[in-house]
This record gives sequence, structure tokens and C-alpha cells, in this order.
Amino acid sequence: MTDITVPLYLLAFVVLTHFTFVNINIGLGVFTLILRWMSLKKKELEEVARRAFKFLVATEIVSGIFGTMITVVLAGLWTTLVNIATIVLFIPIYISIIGIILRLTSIIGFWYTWGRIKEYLHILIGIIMVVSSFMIPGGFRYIFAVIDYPVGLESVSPIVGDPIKALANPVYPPLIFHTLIGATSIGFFAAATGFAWASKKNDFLTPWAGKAALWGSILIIPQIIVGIWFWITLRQYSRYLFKSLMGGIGRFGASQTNVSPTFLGMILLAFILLILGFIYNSNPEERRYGYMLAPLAILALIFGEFTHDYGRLPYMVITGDTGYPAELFVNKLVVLNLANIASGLIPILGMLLLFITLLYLYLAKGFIE
Amino acid sequence: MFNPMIILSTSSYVPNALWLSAFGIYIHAITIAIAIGFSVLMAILEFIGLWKNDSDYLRMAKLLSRVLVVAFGFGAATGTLVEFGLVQVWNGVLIAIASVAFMPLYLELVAFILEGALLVALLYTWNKFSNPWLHWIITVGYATGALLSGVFITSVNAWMQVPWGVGGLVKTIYPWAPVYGPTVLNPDFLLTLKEALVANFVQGTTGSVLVNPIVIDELVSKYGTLLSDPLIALKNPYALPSVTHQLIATTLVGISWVLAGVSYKALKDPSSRAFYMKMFKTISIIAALLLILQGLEGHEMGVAVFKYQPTKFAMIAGLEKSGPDPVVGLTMFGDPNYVFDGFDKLLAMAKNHPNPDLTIAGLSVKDIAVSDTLKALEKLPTVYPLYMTKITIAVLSGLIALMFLSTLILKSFWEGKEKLLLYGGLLYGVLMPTIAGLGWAVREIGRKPWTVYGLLYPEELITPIEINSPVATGIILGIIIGISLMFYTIYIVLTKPPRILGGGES
Repeated sequence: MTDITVPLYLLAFVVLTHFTFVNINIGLGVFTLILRWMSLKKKELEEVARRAFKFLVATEIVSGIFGTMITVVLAGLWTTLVNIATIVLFIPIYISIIGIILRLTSIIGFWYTWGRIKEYLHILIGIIMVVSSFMIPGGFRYIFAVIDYPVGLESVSPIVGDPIKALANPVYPPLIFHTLIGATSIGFFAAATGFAWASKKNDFLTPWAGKAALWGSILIIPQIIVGIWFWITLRQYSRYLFKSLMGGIGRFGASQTNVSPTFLGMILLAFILLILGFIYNSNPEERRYGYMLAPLAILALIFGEFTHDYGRLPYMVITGDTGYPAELFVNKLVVLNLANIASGLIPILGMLLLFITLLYLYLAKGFIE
Repeated sequence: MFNPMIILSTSSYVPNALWLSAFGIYIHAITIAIAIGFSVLMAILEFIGLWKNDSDYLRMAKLLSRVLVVAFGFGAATGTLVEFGLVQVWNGVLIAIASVAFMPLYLELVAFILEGALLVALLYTWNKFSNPWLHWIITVGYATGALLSGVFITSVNAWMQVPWGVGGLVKTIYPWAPVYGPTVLNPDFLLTLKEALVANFVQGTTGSVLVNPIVIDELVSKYGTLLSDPLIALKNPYALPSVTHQLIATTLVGISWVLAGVSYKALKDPSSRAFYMKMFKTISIIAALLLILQGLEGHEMGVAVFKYQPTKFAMIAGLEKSGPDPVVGLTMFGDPNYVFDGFDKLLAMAKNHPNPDLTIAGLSVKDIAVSDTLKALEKLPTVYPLYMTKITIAVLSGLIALMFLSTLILKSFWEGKEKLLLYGGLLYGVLMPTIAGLGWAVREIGRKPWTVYGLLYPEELITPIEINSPVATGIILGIIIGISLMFYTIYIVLTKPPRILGGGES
């Protein structure tokens, strides 16, 4: 029996941190582009767009670093799983790679060319920035779809996959819509909270804090519909995971893992956010509502990801009511003192996170107030 | 009889993938040269500026920091591309990533985090500290992070050049090979895996599909873990000269671009000629000293290649037949008549194999040794001219470096002839990346036909998914769009300094 505790928790830590910032980034990118586009007619909105974008830049640095960490943790500690993914999901991962290149360069381009090139060209770079941000989860979410329901994986040893067939995974469409709508909504809520804070000294941001909250809330409505679609899809194609998230409620049956509390928590948070967003928009002077939006949205995201990923355990790849155990995929080629590695990493990360947080606050303070 | 042609014909997309990887790495190298070269130069210029209380040096350092942030972003993007390229296109390499390369990559991650965090800090804290030396410490920290990233990544590449820790395994197959250190990679595990890889290779199937949980579990339960010393890549004696050589080269390339930039501005912009001439004088000396240092270090690199990569040494020395190389013989052994082993000797050793009856997956190791030595010989007509071109350009550059250094003692001679120096600076910015590019090509082509020297072929590690033209075109197009945006942004940053972000003066 291989102990998977450290590799699993290390993966969970980097994935959840990365996802938190990535979701904020994606949404902030959309928000910035909308504002920038609107600023063509209302010049005063350019400053609002600029401030939203400055938030994006600060969070992008953290998500970028954690994205690199995920690659090392996955390839180093979950090696064979990565190998299966690279073969079966060659096309989606390829799309994500192109997305990463375009996303990072377009952010830098958008930042430094602001006010220095023709407006339509600047907006074009913004469009590349937003589209490429969708391309990244657009490809990588196939990995989650394939471990929920391994379409295209024809054999594990030797690894035989059908990359074209893998594209037709029925779990993927609801998952990707759920991801993209969710990310956009979270980004809007993050903007609402940031603007609420900033509006203390910059009153012109107050209505836009409310509008960001409103747009975030409105997006929860399609998110609920897509969520139900995803729920039905999991029931059909990934029964073990479905049972995990239902936790034995009603006649759905139970699995070895019960993630129903986080699943229900996520739903509850979605409804709270839906209502709170409307309330805050109706009176954006009440900043305390605005302050609550981003933390609640992030909590909902963490609950959702935890439900989706922890619910698979003790399996890593679900095949109906059972699956391939997670321990099968963990690296056994070398005896690594993982506890030492993790404990060595934690203080370094702690220091750097503190440092980045301080910078982030400095940036936000410098920019927003 | 083992026929290598049958095997070669089955891996039709390996050349596509090799070209694609080379393209990605070279593009990434541009940003790395900026990240490392500019940051080292920034640390030096900022130091001089603070020490002499000279605002010109600080102005130049700030200018570099603006370009640095653009290059860092693009470097992260292309770095991801290279990383994924390695994992996705050469997914068999995962076996090394999960064993020998794990610790260097883990440490590189820490260095990268340091780099990322400190870049933000150095950008936002210009003129923010009451004690400006604090900012300089951040700059030095960033440069250290960038250099450390290079150390760890290069050590992984060095292990692929010289697989330290396999003991006599490579020598068992190739009699001309040295013993690669202690045996910390489980030989039974490795041999069984190699048997399976060769069997797949012969059938025209990639071995990367064998890096799966079932096969790994079976091997581990039968033979134990693959690697007993996770730090072996850092203990590789080939790593130190490789790291030093690569880092000096990378720094030199970055600095040479700055030198070319200031030379151009000094030639074209009379209004700011004094400032750029002043910068030129300092930067050209740094660039010249680095080239001399690289020349000395190049000798150490050459010795390491001689010791550990007999086929590559024969390639770069153009030794189809054994014979003396007066210059190398004199510098290496103090004997101009020293006879170096050429491919004739290496082939003879392979043909007179000490274990002729030994087989791997049914193939005689003698046949494998002969066939692979011949394949290496096929690369000689490519590698030797590349290497000689590189050396010729290096000699020419050395003359320019001497010209720069002479300004220290022949000040009156150069008065009124500054333009000549500036043209030398422009040329330097072209010659340095050319030498580095040629050097990297020699390093990489020279290790062929293996990806991991003497152990693994590209055909064994490549993805089973065909790397066809649409795939390659998509990646190349993405890179071209990205790099165009990068250069355009750098142009904008340099010509219209940003008001936002506080990245320097307005």
C-alpha cells in the first residue's frame, strides 16, 4: 500500500490555490474588456477598466507561479496519470498550451500598449487576452472530464488512447460551461469587492462595484442551469462521483467518500451570492455587502472543486461505480522524503505568499485608492 | 542481423518533433538571455550607480527593468511551452522527470518563485526605499533567482548528456563509453525497461506508452525503486562545466544585446550620445571580460566532453579517423601530438565488443553498439562545421573584445574613433547569439542518436500521437504571434515609457 497523503495534499494545495486566482483572472479579463469596450463611447470608463485590469495583473502573477507548480507536482508525483493525459488528451492540452502563450503575451501587450496604440487595436489585444483565457481551461478541463469518465482511454498498459474519440466526452460540455460561467462570475464578484474597498476614496467606482456584483449575480442563473445539467451528466456517466456528492441522500446510494456537505454548501453559497449581488447593486454605498462577495465566491469555488476532486477518492479515474485507485498513479520510481519536501516547501511558499500578498495589497492600495 | 534502417523508417515524425522542440527552445532562449543577461547587468549598473552616486547608471538599470518584465512574461509563456513540449511530445521523458530530474525541477520551482516575486518587487520599489541599497539587494536577489533557475534546468540537460549514476550500464552496451559514476539507478529495473523499450522500438512503436501505472508497479514490485539518490543529477561532474558554460553564454548574449542597443542609440541619436557612450564604455568592458571568461571555461567544457562523450568529442574535433589535434592536445595534455580517438577507433571497439553474446530484446548489444556508433558518425558532417564556425566567430569576437578592453589603456588612440567601437558593439550583438546558438546546436545534435546519452533514443520517448504539419504549424503560429507581441511591446516600452506600473521614470 503506497501512502498517497503527501502527494495528494500537495496537489490539492497547488490546484486549489491556482484555481482561485485563475478564476478571478478569467473573470477580471472579461470585466476589463467589457469596460474598455464601453469606454469607446464613455471615456470616463477607461479609468475604471484600467483599475480592473491592474487587479488582474497582480493575481495573474500568483496564478502563473502556481500553474508552474502544478506541472512539476503532476509530472513529478503523478507521473503515469500525466502520461495517460498527454496521450489521450493530446489535442485539448495542445489547445491549452497555445492559450497559455497567447494569454501571457496578450496581458503584457494589453498593459503596455494602453493609450499608445489605436483603440480598436488595443481592444483586439484584449479580445485575444479573453479568448486565450478561455482556451486554457477549455483544454485542461478535458483532464477532469476524462478522469470522471475515461472516454478515449482504450488501454492503460500499454497506454492506448483515441484522441479524437476523447473529444466527445459527454462530461466535458457541462463541465466547461460550468467552469467558464463560474470563472466569469467569480471575477465579477472579485471586482465588486475590490471596487467596494477602493470606492472609499474613489467615489466614481461605487456604481461599478454594484454593477460588477449585479453581473456576477446574473451569471449565477445560467450557472444553476448548467450545474443541473452537469449533475445529471455525472449521474449517468460517473456514478461513483455522483454518489459521493449525494452522500447517500435519498435513493441515490452512497460511495466510500461523502462530499455532500461541500456540495450542498456550494449550492447554498450560490444562492446567497445571487441575492447578495442584487442587494449590493441596489445600494452600492453599503460596502459591507460588497466586501462579502469575493470571499463567498471563492469559498463556493473551493467547495465546488473539493466536491469534484475529493469525491473521486479513493479512486483517481472513475469507471462507473468503481475506478482506478489513486495510489496506482503516484510516483514510485524514487523514494522521496515527501514529508521533508512538503515541509521544506511550506516555509518558502509561506514567505513568498506573504510577500506576494503584501505586494498585492500594495498594488491594490496604490492603484485602487 | 540487426538492420537500423527498418527501425528508422518507423519513426517518421521524430524529425518533425525534433525540429519543433529545437524551435521552441531557441525562442525560449531569447527570453532567457534577456532575463538572465539583463538582470545581471542591471545588478552591476545599479551597483555602480549607487556606489558612484551616478544617476545615469540608475537610469540605464531602470530602462532594463522595463524590458525585463515584458521578457519575463513571455519567458514564462515559452517556458511553459518547452515544459509541455517535453512532457507532451516527448512523454517518455516523464520517467526521468519522476526520478533523476525531480529534485532539480523542484528546486528550479523554488528559484522560479523567487524570481517571479522579486521581479514584481524590483519593479515597484524603484525610488521607494529611503536606503536605495535595499532595492539593489532585491535586484541581486532577482538575478540570483534567474541564475539558479538556469543552474537547475541545465543540470537536467547535463544528465541527459551524461547519465551519471548508471555506473557501467552504458559501457556494457557501448565499449567506448566511460563508467558513469556510482550505480544509483537500479540496473535490473533499467535493463528490463530498456528491453521493453527496444522491443517496442523494433516494432516501430514508441516506448512512451510503457510509462504507465501497471508496468511501473510491476517493475517496482519486482526490482525495487528505480533511483536511490534523488540528487544524482546535481552530483554529475558534467553538470558544473555545463552550468557555468551555459550561464556565461546566456548572460553574454543578453548583455551583448544591450551593448548593441546602446551602440545604435549612440550612433543614431546625437542628443543623447554622451549618455549612451558612457554606458557603452562600461557595458563593452563587461561584455569583453565575459567573453574571455567563457573562452577559459570553454576549455573545461571541452575536457568534460572528452571525458564523458566520446562520440560527441569525435564529432566536434572532426575525427573520422583517430589523430592529433595540436591545439587541443597542447591545451589539454601539453602534448600537440596527442592522438585522440576518432570514429575508426570507436567503431573498432564496438566491433570487438567484450560481450558479443549479450542481447537486449533479442538484439545483440554488439550490433546495437556498431549501429549507433555509425549513426553518431553520420552527424559528424553536421556537427564539425557548426563547431568550427562557432570557434571562428568566437575568435573574431575575441578580437572585438580586445578592442573594447584596449580603450582602458589606449584612451588617446580611440579619441575620434568612437564610431569604430560602436560598430563593434553592434556586431557583438549579432555574433554572441550566433555563437551561443551554434554552441547549443553542437551540444544537442552532438548527443545524437540518443536523447539520454547511450541509454534512450528519441524514438523510444516520443508520443504515439503523430506530430504532423497542422500540429507543428499551430504551435509555431502561436509562438510567432506571441513573440511578435513581445517585440512590439518591448518597442512600445522603450519608445513610449509607461506611465502606469511605476516601472521606471515617466
